Amino acid sequence: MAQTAVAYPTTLSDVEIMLTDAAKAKLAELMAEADPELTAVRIFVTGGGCGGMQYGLTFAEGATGYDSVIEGEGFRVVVDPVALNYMQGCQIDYAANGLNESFVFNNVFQAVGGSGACGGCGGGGF
Amino acid sequence: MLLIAPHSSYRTAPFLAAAQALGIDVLVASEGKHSLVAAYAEGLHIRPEDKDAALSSILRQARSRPFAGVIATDDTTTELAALAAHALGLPHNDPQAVRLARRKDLARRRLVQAGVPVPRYRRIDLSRPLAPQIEGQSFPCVVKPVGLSASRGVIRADNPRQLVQACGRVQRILASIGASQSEPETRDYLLVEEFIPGVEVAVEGMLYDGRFELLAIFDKPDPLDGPYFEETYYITPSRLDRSVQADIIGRITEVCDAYALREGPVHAECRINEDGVWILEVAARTIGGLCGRLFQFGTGYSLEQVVLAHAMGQRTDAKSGLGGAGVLMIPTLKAGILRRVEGVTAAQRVPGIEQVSIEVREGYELVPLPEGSSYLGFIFARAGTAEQAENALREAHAGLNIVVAPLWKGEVAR
Repeated sequence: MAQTAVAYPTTLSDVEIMLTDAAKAKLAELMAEADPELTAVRIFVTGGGCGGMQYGLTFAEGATGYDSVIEGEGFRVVVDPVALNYMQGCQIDYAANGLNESFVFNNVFQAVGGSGACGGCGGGGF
Repeated sequence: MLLIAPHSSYRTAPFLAAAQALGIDVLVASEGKHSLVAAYAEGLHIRPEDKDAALSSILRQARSRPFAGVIATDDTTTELAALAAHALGLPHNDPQAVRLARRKDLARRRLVQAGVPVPRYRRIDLSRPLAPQIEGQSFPCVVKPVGLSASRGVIRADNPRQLVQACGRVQRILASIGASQSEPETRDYLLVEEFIPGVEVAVEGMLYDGRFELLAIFDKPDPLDGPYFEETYYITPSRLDRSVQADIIGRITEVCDAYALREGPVHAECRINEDGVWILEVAARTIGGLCGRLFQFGTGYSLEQVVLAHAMGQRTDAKSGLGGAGVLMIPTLKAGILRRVEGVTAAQRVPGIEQVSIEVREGYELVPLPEGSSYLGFIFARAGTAEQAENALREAHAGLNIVVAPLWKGEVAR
């Protein structure tokens, strides 16, 4: 049977990952302060234990051949295919929660289903 | 030989190498389902936190292939090793003695009963309101989890506000790692004890039928005054006075007697000041991390060979080699994502440096104390004297540039 190559998106639109204006502004601010060799912010996903997936961002020196890219004014975001798999359809905001400000990942469970946490062992009930 | 090891132990490989050198067959019992070391040793899948089930698996295995001895590589498996050895009738420590050596709260209580001086302490029950439990606490004090090691979760507090903050922070650390499911008390209790000023040493030794024999005393030349207590330099031989070294050995012997530890490796941490020698910890295991590489006894044996031989009922001559040696556990000073470590080649060329080993790969997260539990890497030195070894380590470390990218943790809206 003939196999059809699956096209992998190299650029992303709001349909895959939507950045709010607050998130875009923060990303641009971080990039403006970064060392010159750091040309992007990478979004990544780790974990998968009882606490669910962990989402984070760090600087990157560029995109790899497997990354998808979101470009905006003053920022460039890269996402690898595995992370993208857990973020399809999510919205990333930058918001205050009490005294802390952080990136907030909304609607990530559209991609992974469930609530993102395990109810099995009662851990993490803090 | 049965070797019981957490799946991520630094200690498994050195023990396997030592066993190979001595011609001893090893079965590694661990929670790792897929062995990466099948070419070197067989594996038995256990879940160490479920001690009863793990013990049943070990005893079932022993029926088809008896063991000559049992060794635990790390703190988290010492109790299971003692239980297994006890059930199999092999010489080992009593499980209760090993439990005392692992649980800081129980250990403190036992030492008080035995008349061994310990810092004033109180046990905090995290399920009850904190304020009445810390009333009258003197400062500075130190908050410690009762069942963790390697300074993880150990925080100094200089006033009541810092103490409350430290208790909350350690509580979150314990919750995040799900501290021992099989022993809920390690998640529910903290130890708060008086801060003991002074110089600190680490001590490695062996117990043979209840008699403590010193292998090495390591000076820790940098002050450890908090707020966190990251291990950095270990330098041997100790430059403390002979009489102080004798006091250290005497105090550790008292503690081993109090716990009823009688066999196998002992790793101790002590503080010394004008009031004498204070025990911070006596554990029934070898030194952690990769630091065991420092031991190169005059007779050519490694630390792991000494321990294996003892578990087989044999005795090795473990006289120290001449000269100085040291290790720097490279501290994780900055949280974030490791981008690269620069200057490794130059550091390796510093006279006296034997090895620079970076243990964290690029792209991995670095977590400093008190939340973190692993080192960025290790630098080993060997030189004519302890001072030369320390200087080599400092020069090598000064040449390293650890490049870390910041990490912004995302919050997931649920």
